[in-house]
Amino acid sequence: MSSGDLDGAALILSLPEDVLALISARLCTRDLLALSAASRRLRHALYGGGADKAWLAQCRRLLPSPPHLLAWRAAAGGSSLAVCRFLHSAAPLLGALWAHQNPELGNLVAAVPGFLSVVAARAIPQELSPRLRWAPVFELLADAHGRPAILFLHGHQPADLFPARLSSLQPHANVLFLEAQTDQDPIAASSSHQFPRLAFGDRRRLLDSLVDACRVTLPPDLVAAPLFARSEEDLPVLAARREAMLRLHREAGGGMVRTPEVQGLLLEAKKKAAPSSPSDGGERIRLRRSLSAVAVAVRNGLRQMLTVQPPVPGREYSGLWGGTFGWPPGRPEDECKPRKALFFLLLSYEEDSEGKPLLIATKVLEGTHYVVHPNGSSMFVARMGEPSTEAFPWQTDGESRNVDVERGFAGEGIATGYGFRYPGSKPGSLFVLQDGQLAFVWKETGAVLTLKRLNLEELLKKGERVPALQPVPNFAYLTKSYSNVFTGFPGSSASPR
Amino acid sequence: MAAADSCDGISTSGGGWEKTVTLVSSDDARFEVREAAASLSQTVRRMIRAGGDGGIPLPKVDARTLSTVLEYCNKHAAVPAPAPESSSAEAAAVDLEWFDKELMHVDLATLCSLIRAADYLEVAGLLDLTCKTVADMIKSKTAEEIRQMFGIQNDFTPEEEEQLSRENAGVFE
Repeated sequence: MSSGDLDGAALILSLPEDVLALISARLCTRDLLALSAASRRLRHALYGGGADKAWLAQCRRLLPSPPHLLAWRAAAGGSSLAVCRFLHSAAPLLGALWAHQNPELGNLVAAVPGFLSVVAARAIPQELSPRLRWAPVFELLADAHGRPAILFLHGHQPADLFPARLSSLQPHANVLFLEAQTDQDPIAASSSHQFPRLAFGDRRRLLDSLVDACRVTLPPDLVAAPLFARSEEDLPVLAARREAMLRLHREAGGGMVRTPEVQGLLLEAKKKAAPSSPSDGGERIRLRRSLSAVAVAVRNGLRQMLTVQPPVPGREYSGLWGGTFGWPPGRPEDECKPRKALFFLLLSYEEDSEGKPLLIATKVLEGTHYVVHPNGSSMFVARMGEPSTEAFPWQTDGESRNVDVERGFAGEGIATGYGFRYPGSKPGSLFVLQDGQLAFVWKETGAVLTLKRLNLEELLKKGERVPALQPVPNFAYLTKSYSNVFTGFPGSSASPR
Repeated sequence: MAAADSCDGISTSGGGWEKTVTLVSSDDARFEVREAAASLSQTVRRMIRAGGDGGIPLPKVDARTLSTVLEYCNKHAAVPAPAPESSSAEAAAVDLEWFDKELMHVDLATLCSLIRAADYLEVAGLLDLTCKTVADMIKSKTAEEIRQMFGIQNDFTPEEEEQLSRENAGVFE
């Protein structure tokens, strides 16, 4: 049989839009792009308005909630293609978790979907309470084409924002790299800009000066607006907030400033960096502060993107867990004082030298004023091939219900060692309780750390926003590595353990 | 294709006779088909309910396409529903899968006609099957492989092609 006079492109495009959407739903975005790159006609059709449903079908795979998706599409000027582009471009960030090893008291930054945006929020060290306390770090908004190009850093005051542009986003990005740029289009010019060639002190002075000069302020009625949708009712105010932020970004020229001070600094820095090419010295220099997230190949220990292993058979316990010390386990709604310090642990599997599975619990967050062990410490290591010989010490929980222990594994728990940074370890057991909780019990002391699996995105949505950290001279090297810089907020109670 | 083909399936396993309906294609071919099979099309089902005589006109489907659609409907409506775990249920499922696969051995033009017919006639199973078949033809291919598969002329200049791949790589990957 022959396909007659029509080529394949014409045949496919002759199908009704609803049918194209059905076909698209079975493809991944890369397939749809390959199809659109096959011919001019296909490109025109798929990038024109007639194939919106095909892109909408792609969006549904990435953002399952229809009301949210439709609100995002409306905010993107009705273009599902733009939403799809954003969801794809932002995918390397969504669900990402970063932890700092310095400052060593720990804090955890998670990137979650906002409103046609990605919101990076910092879970601060805190006590167990009904609402997780978090502070915004940055927001990445889609531009008109759906590119995640519009960036805002959050200031200490809730209304303060610092506009910038994202020049590149690489998979596994774990460093936000701040640069000053003089180019119009940071995406096109990211490889040729001069900022990295400036002296360190000049770079810092330039950035400080830029940050001072490019601050914008949210309108008062939107300061308290949410950053992500807690329910469908938040969608209209989120749309209004996005509009306001886009306007602020536009008015600020994307963070481009022309103060004499900044221009002077730049000229001076350039003279020092490249004395042989003073040709642009007399030009009027437009300066753009640009942020680019770049991947660093080596784990440099300062900021580390956490690899969250998905739970799979044989590795059921991997993922993010949260909990407290003591029995019965602390519950968020408990009103007792002092409250218990909240721990976040990342559980992952490794193998020992003999190839036997180990479950390693790495601390990524610890309340409150003081921390006992540095962030990144292994709170416990359980040997998953070795059943525990110990019995679980408690028969009932806080409400006198019987505690059923499903399994127990032998292991080692963290213990006081040589100073803050070099902990020791003592034997203990990891127990899997029937209600899905985990409990690590130190054999000698009977101390117990109980853990529940966390859904951080949900916790952030239901949580309580607190102001971002006040400016500190050097975030990575605080004067006292075991004191908590995040606890200086009104209302935060002091309860060192 | 002979329009009378579809008449053989009208006796039931019990030896009785089933009610049939007559469908008329856009090129005036008449197909007599079991009502149970024809009712897999929601469009036909509505028309049967609405009543009328002289056959159900389907002005958007030609005889060749309609005969394939009815082949699908006859096969899928003929399958009784045995207990889900029984071995005969498994055999019937394998048989149907085999039948579907064979039915989809057609060129793109025929496939697109079938899709349009399944969409118009609202035969959900066939629409799903045909869309899946087209999707499978596109899946995991480069633009060049898609061109070869569908006989599409590459009308981009090399510069445009480079621009496209840069755009797609930069934003979508």
